[in-house]
Amino acid sequence: MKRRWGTVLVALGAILCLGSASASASGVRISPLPAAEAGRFWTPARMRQAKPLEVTGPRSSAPLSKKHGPQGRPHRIAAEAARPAGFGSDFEPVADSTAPGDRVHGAIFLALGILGYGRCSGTAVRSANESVVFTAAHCINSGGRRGRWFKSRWVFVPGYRYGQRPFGVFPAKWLDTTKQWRSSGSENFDVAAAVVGRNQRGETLGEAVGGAGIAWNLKTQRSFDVHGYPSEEPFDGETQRVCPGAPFLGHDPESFLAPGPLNLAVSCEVTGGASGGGWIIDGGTLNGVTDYGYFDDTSPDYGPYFGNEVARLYGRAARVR
Amino acid sequence: MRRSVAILALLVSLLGAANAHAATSGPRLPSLFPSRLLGAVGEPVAPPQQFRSGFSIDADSGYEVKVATSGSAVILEVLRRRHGMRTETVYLARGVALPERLQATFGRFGKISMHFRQSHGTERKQVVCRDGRRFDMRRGVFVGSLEFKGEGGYVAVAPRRAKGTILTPAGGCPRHRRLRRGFDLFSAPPTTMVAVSRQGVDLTGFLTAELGGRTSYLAVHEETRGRLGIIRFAVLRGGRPLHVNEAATAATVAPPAPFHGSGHYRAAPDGTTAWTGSLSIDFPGAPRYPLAGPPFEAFLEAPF
Repeated sequence: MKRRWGTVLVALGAILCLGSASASASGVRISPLPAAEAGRFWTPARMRQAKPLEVTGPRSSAPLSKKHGPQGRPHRIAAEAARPAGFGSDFEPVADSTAPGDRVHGAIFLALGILGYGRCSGTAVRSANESVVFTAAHCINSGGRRGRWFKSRWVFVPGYRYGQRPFGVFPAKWLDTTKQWRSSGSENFDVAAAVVGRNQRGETLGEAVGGAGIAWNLKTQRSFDVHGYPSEEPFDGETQRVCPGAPFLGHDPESFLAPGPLNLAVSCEVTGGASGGGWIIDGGTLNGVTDYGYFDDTSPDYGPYFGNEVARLYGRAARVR
Repeated sequence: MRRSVAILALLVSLLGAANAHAATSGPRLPSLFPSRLLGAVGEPVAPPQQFRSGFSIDADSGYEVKVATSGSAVILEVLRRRHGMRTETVYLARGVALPERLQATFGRFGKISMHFRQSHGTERKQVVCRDGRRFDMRRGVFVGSLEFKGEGGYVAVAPRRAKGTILTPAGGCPRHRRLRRGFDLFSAPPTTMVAVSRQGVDLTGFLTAELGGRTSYLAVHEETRGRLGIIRFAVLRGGRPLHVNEAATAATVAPPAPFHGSGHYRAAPDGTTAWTGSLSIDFPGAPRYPLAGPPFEAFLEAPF
């Protein structure tokens, strides 16, 4: 039995004011933590202590707006370095997390005050500022109108493995989610972006690892390479894993009741910590992120549809300097 | 991340408080049961929505058909109620779910396009209290077209107009009777048997609980067909008691109609469990739906 990685951790964290910024139309800026300091803080021991981020509580169901839904023209931004797609759906370890194509995926760590440390997964995405990371919204904001930002010592560690940080640590300087996540907390909009500063070597994220492409408003009938750093049993979060060629299974019946485009289910067994992990199509294009699963079975893995709101989010993140 | 309990809230709100209490067994539910159902055990919760509009009609086949908004979905419920028993199939479709407009396609089963006309002489809103919440209620008529024909034609409706209401939350009721708890936490724990099967996005669950000499049964099935969600459930209060051996390693469940057959629970010394037998349920539109077999994981909890 596994998944639905839900506890009171993040809810309590939110109550304890881990982030004090209010939701704004264009994300929240963070006083950038120097990369060297972030690197010193996030020791292997602290990274191993980090627990998967979760969100509790029912969400409000706002009335459906006509604007919601997978409307708009399909759009793709090519990856900087693509790799061939695999096949199969087991959540298997990536042979070399520093290899081109896999190095764009990484682990996200953040401090939760007295509650310890949290973790998620994320993906570097190609952009003009070479610094955009996509993840799940619940890895950045607790959601809803009273949602709090999780911005304390938020870092992205691409290619993370066994406490190693092969490309350094990239501290966040700007965080944002889809607007609907912050207004309704609808899991159908559980997508976020971060803009990160330079690593300890002074490199931008794009210079260090490149970036996946990104696409939105595509048809759902496709297969995805689902990446992530699951840290709950039977995994340990120390290696990047991938479900290559995980097929689209359908929509979660619950997603019909929440605002936004219906979420997607793929055949992949993931656990907590994999939240925010990138769903890759065509060998190098991000087209989804891991959102949630259920305890009572090992699969599927659910994630939001990449539609117009994700396009807007990408546009806001890519403009950040 | 943790999921919301929207479906449960919907289900519980459909069932009403009393049935919900009967259908669930309190905080001792095993964690095997889907957390979406675990979340609001014993605590009927109205879905958090800003309005609810819709109407109800009687179909020739003996079913009641309700159409309503629920969150962002237009839902069509086909239900049948008898003494202590309720079976229902809910079709969820995305479309236009606004207070005065219902528009959606239920796949190959049909579609709806109706709008609300307020009745003359009822311009003044009525205030009603339901489950401690106060609503402004507008009465009127939904006009337009609804064409719906269920699986195999088990139900078919095609009204052009139907009396309906729009409910808009208006705070809490000053005096309301608190919903009675399902049972006392300090009373004897129930005997509970749960079986769950998830295949892809489809979920089937069966729960039976025996408390104070009363046995209750709940069966649920969720599935999606393209852009249509379908939830079926049945609740039954009353029936033969569970047969559980002294070591709680074997049990037999044989509920009355609309269930058929029996289910057999076995726990091996190594901790593995099996849930076998011919147990099935007549859901609206899905007769003899199997509720036992190898895909199911089962859990039994019995008091000493």
